[in-house]
Amino acid sequence: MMDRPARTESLTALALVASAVLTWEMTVRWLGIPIYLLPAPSRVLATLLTHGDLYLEATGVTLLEAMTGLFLGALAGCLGALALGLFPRLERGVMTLAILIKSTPLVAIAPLLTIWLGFGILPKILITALLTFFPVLVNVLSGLRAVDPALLDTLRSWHADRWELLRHVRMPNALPHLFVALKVSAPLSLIGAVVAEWTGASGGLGRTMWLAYTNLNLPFLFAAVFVLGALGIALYSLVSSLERKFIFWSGE
Amino acid sequence: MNVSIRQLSHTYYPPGADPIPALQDLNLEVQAGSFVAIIGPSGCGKSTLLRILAGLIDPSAGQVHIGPHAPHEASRSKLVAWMAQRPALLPWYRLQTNVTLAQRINPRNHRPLVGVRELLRLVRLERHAQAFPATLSGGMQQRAALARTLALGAPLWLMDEPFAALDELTREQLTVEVLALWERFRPTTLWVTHSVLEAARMADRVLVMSPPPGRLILDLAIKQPRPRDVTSEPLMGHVRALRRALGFQ
Repeated sequence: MMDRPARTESLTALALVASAVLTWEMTVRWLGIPIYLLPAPSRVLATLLTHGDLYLEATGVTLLEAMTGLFLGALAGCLGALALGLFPRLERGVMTLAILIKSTPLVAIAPLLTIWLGFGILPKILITALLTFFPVLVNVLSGLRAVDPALLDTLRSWHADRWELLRHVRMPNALPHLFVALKVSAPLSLIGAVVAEWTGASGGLGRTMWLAYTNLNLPFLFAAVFVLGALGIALYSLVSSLERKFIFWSGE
Repeated sequence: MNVSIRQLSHTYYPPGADPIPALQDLNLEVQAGSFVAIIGPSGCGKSTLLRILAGLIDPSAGQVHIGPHAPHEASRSKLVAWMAQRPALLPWYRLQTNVTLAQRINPRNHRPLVGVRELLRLVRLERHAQAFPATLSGGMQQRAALARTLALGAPLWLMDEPFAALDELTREQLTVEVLALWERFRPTTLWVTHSVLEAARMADRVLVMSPPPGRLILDLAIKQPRPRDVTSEPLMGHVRALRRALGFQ
């Protein structure tokens, strides 16, 4: 059961979204905006429902790419942070490389990867992993570092070695930071997969959007945007509920 | 466990700032099984002394022996129980795990003194074994930290203002409880405090340290039997002597 403030919050959010959609619908109808500029949300929904199979399949492809990429990116980020936590001398080199990856524009590498690796899901997974790796690395590393010195001193007074400090203090301390990173990275993973699909793909929501765009079929394009928005929200709430499950000690 | 300190000096070298001398030429012999309170103004090196004994920092100069051991060896053999001002419980472990954690760290040298149930009963937390630290009050957390200190079964207790962060009532109550535990296990105890009354009430011997860099300026034996009434005349005499040494009139 949701408690009362939480229920009020979700009702507020729902009311805001509903009124925005309603305003959109009314504006399109009253001003007679042509469908090739802005379709009414009712029209978008109708498109979505009549082409349900198509969108379902595209969503499956994009989700597979995004989640595999997110998993690999987050895994690499965690392992990188652990390595840097244990061997601080590596930090300069690894961080330089990570920032290089981070600041290279995604749209610049995506076509290259498509040329090299083809139209399948592999280049999309790679792009998504590259995009999600950095927030996880930075956050988890700061979680491993930002430890209450009194905890470390207490364990050191029992002659704990650095593995014991890592296991009992640093890693649990980094867990909430990992979830902060995942809240950023999970929606990013969708962006990564879709952008990669725009550069050439045999399936996925990005490809659907690209096809709709080149045909100026705006209801089709907006339907994909709707699906992506819903996926983003679903992913974010999934991460939040996992967070509540795993960060059980905060006393709430 | 005897503690022997000779010519001990320590200076901190903070990066980009002037060196801070914390201890200077300290000499001290502590007899096994005695309760020694250390009192002095802030920065006089009381905490530094305990941290050196706990093997957390290496002194700049001088020798320290805990029984026949150097501090590092003593902490490796779990002969030393160090307790800080804050409870420093691990927030992600239940109380029971927190209290017994020392058994799982560096486990080869662990000799449990009493079981976890008994430990929690001693600090009156037996009903909270499954609680997470964040759900407990400050006093309860500090009692849990006390149980964790006991769990080591160490013959030397190093207590760094263990009750400084607590309110007067809780502190009063815990003082009584700690004395009872001390009488039961009789560890050698070094007890750092800011409270003259607390020192006079608990210790066999009170050491007063000078403003930094810290050295000993008074070594006062208190022979009254416990429990002590701090308002009684012999004890008030000691309190006055301690206050004079600390520069209060």
